[in-house]
Amino acid sequence: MWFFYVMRALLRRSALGVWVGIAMVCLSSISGNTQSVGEGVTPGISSSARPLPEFKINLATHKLANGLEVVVLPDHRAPVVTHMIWYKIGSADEAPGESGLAHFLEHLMFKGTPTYPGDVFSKTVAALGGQENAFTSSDYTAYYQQVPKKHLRQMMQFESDRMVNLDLKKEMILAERNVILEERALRVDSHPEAQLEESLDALLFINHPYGRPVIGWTHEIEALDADKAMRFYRTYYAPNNAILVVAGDVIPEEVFKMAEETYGRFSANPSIPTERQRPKEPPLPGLRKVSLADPRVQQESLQRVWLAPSVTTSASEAYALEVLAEILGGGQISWLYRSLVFEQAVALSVSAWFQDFSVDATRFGIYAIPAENIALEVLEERLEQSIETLLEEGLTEALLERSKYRILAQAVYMSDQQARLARLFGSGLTTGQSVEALQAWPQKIAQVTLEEVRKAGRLYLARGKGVVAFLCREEQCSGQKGTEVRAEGGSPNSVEVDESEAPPVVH
Amino acid sequence: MSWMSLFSMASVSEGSPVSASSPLREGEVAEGPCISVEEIHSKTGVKAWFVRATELPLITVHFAFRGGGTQDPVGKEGLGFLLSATLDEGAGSLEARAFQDAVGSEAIQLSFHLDEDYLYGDLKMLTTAKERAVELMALALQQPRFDSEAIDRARAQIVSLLRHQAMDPEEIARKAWRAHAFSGHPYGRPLEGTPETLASLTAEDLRIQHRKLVARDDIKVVLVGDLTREEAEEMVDRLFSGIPEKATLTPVAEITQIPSGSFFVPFETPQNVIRFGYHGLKRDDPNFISALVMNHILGGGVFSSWLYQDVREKHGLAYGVWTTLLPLTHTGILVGGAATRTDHATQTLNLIYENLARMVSEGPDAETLSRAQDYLTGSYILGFDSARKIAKHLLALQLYGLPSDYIQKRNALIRAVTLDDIRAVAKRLLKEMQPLIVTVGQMPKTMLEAK
Repeated sequence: MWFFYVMRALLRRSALGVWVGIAMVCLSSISGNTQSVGEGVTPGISSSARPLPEFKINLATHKLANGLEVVVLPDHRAPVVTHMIWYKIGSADEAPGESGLAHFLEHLMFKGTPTYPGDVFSKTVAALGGQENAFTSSDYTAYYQQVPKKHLRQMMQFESDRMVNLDLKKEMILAERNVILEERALRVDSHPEAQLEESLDALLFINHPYGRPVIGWTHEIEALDADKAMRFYRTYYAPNNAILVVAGDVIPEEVFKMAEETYGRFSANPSIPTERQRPKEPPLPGLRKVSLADPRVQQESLQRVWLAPSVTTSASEAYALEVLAEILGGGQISWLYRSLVFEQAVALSVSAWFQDFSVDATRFGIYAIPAENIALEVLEERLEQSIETLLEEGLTEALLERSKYRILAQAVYMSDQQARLARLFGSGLTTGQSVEALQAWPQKIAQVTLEEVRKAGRLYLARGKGVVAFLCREEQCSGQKGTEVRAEGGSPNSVEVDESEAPPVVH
Repeated sequence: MSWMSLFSMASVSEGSPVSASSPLREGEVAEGPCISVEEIHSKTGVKAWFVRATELPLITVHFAFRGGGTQDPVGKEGLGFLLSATLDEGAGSLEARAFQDAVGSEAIQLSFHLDEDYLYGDLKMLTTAKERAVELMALALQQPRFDSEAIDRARAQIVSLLRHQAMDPEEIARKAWRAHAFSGHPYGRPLEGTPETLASLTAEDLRIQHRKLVARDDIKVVLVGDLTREEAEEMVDRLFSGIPEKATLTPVAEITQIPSGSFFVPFETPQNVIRFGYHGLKRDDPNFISALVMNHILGGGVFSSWLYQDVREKHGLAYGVWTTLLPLTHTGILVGGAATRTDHATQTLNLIYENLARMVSEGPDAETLSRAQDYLTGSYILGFDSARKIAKHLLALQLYGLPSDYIQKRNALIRAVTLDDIRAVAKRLLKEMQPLIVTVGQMPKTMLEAK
């Protein structure tokens, strides 16, 4: 058990999507308040004898006149509240050449307003015994505080003020930009596996801005300034481009009233487009490969990533892929762990992940660590074979039922932590889903059929598609040295990767 | 964040009841968490703390056996860690795969982990799976198989983990600091072992270590969830009645000081990772709470600490800079860290020194102390908003030897800390000893010149 999760945690992106935040300390401790009992959503009837676990979501929603959507997730177990504001703006909305701007602005949002100058907001949160942080992904930027419930109104006052009144002074910019360069050095440049992930994304997304790192390329971070940040802020930060999520010991009507009195003070920005238009990925034939050899590498690893539909772009296929990710790589009882770790002993660990919440087409990935003396090519081949075997003959009703059971059980476990539920709704609603779709999710999972899983697997996890990434020690890497990008298979057309899209990888 | 990512169960911690990253230390309550902890006694004499929580159809059980990595025989470093990795790799008549099938098909979460002082077990289940979950955990505790195939697999996985750690500058710094700080003591040995020591470990070693640690006499247990007191008592009996009554632990020496000095570990990386620390306090030290507040002001508070304000906000030198007060069973440490560009390492370290010196010479003013107390008392409740956090916190209280009503008393203790207390504890921890510093990265020019 332990190794699977340690290794999955070590995969720096893992299933967590790609997001970076304002401060290191709280990122993993957002886990919050729990739970909700109430009108529940009962999954459809399963074909098996045992009923599927019942995952209930208790919520209330409201929309302000200025367009702000409010979602309240009541949980009365402790007098605590999690207050989150989510903006439908992320790194994929940045202009070319300005990578890292969404995240840069996220940091600068802590610099104060005329009403609450400097770090008055943060000082107040701390004095109230609250915790706060912020994070940016390719599709959204979010800010949150967790406080004793009586302070909710004050948080809303501060956060709504910060939505429109940010006051940036040029002298603040330099130190904060340096902090972000250190953040990048810490998160990416200090870890060859994280560097490789940047190359992998750049190869998977040739045309779509998901190919750029959320934190930005170093040379582009260095060129960010206050004017660019303020322009981005004025363009995208407004009530009609945000979602307010409040989870905890609250009464929905009171939250709605407080939201009217705070966020309701500000008017909508009608010039924000409701559609998020980004360049789409073309159907590009050929398997793309990238390998990074680095003297720091002690443990080799392999990643196999494919382009896949998100819940937003193709819901039913995405639900099938959620089930497939669990079947393939969910824990030690998964198909791949059984096949590659237990039976063939070619891997020490293997897991699958699917970034199901995404505005545009997204990533489905597998991460594997080879067993001693097993070449990455061998592991890759066995992995492909094992996936094919599953899709051809391995899928059974029993496997399907067990995977659905595990997915829904994990959802029940998750509901012990209310801030995670808040994040679920925030990220779902800022990536183009509706409250209704999120609530219907347990039924949708229960209704996934074997045929849907098989079809989605065959269509999206094909051998000749996507990217293979090898992380290796310098002297190894398939007998070649250095970083190499090449395309093979599928088509006579070779895939040419622009230098600006595929970053040179630091050795 | 998404459905898929929410299900990542990666709750693997280093095992210590206080996490280095959490601003909430051991216990803290502001306006008092309103939970009712019942102390239960099973028929076989095992005591446990129980919190009934019926809102969700879940049961969480956390327990710990005293004697973690310190109990590894010399030359067999990593034995306890290997034990924690193999206890769930088959038990009774169930070989590894069958055991994990049984656990996984019911979506039971069953795991073990180890730190220097304890072997921990975690069990989480839907109420519908409780019979099976308890049966499997009891089997793992009482009749682990230690099949050679499972041992070899776990051993290879630990070696792989060691390789990962050897790639990570933070991990290299953490290990190097501990090796220097605790040289000659079991705490200074590698918890996960080394490839060499791991290679020598056998099933017989595991059986001996299992017999040594897994016993009823000093077990700490917490149950939180949707079950009655009677059911909880019965569950405790079913889990633990079949294990031996007494553990056979090797005595471990106390550590009363940590050497000072500055060490450099060359590593090809763009940042220098700095780790500094002092001898700290054990949890039962009368000055512990004062030290907790002092640490919060110095480097424990996320956005508010002196180090954060100076090193990050004012000078933009690092993304993170922190200190933490870590009480262990046989000593305590006050340790901190930062990561910065190689050419900024000296400046960063100097700023850290200045703040440490300021804590000793001036200390905080009354307003700073009061703000720290506001935070520490106000935020205590945040640690009680989920069954998972409650279980973790209650286990930590037991491991520290604190009573369950400490939850109600704790905030008053924080409030009682005075400026004099802070100055006294700062003098005790930071003045009378020099720090032990480990830097991982490339040698800054100034240091090269100094050589």
